Amino acid sequence: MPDGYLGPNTYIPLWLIMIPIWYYAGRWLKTNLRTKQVPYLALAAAFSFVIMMFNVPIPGGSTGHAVGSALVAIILGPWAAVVTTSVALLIQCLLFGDGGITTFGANCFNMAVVIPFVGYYTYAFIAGRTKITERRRIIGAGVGGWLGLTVAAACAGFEMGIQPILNSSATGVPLYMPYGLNITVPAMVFGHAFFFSIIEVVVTAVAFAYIARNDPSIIWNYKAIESASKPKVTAAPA
Amino acid sequence: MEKVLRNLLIWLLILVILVPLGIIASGTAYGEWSVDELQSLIGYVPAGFASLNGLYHAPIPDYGTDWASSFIGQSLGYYLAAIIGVSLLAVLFFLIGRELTKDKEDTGEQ
Repeated sequence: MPDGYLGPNTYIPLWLIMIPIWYYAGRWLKTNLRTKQVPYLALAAAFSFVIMMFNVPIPGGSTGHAVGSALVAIILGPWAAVVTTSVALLIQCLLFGDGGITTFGANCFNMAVVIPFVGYYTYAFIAGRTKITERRRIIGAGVGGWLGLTVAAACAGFEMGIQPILNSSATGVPLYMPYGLNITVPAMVFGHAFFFSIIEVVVTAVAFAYIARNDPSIIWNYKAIESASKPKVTAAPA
Repeated sequence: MEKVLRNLLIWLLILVILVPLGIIASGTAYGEWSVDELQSLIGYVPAGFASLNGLYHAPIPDYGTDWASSFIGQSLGYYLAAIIGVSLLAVLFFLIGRELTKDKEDTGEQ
């Protein structure tokens, strides 16, 4: 979202929400990042940036893109994805003028928080206690990417769509985003759920499957997944 | 270099090579219209929007695609933007990651 689409009563709270999230995410990364993961962290941040450059057209003339932060969340942890995606969005904003300064908190909330957490927990829920190489886990990664992107789009649609209610002139003329929820939410969800998410789903599922089957030790909670998937040791009957 | 890391780097490189595909779609993303586009969509420019939009001028607007009108020219600009963004983030996070893990043992485990 560029500057001008959200009023201060929306963009300031979203900035304020992001400050403790960034702080905690930074602390989490310091505690949990393993030496072996360092090159993958660099790769994840670079990947986030480039995947967002693939604009996909949809019927009606609009465009949009995948984000890739569900994949980063599944491999390096959702808090790591908060950091890599936020910094990728910062570079987009400061160097390339993509995404506003005032709306930076909102953009980070939608793409660097909602997608990683919805994506990761959807994947974890579907995967259950299956082994790291199990097909159900790959399906979970794909569905996680899809739901993460779709929910984030609905959030962005919601933030824009409440503007006419929150910010209109005395005569009822909208001051920021002019369209209401009945237009913005369906428009955002339609493009993301049926078009841009195709890239998100394929990238998340394929890259997860490749890493899980070739070097699962990169995955942040690999040990927990491995121990949960082992059959429970029960005491031998007397 | 580890095989998995090397292959993922190759995939990243392929994404960078394919990046001009991202400018074929010419439409504006939903809710990212410019002042002129908003004017023609709804017939006016909302007052608050007008005061905030264009608040900041980026050094490389539109990912380097606005300097040329041909697809090849725009692709070159887009390549440059992709290379700048990708290398900046990769170097930055490699340094951050190294700093965060400098006192840790390289066990490859959690």
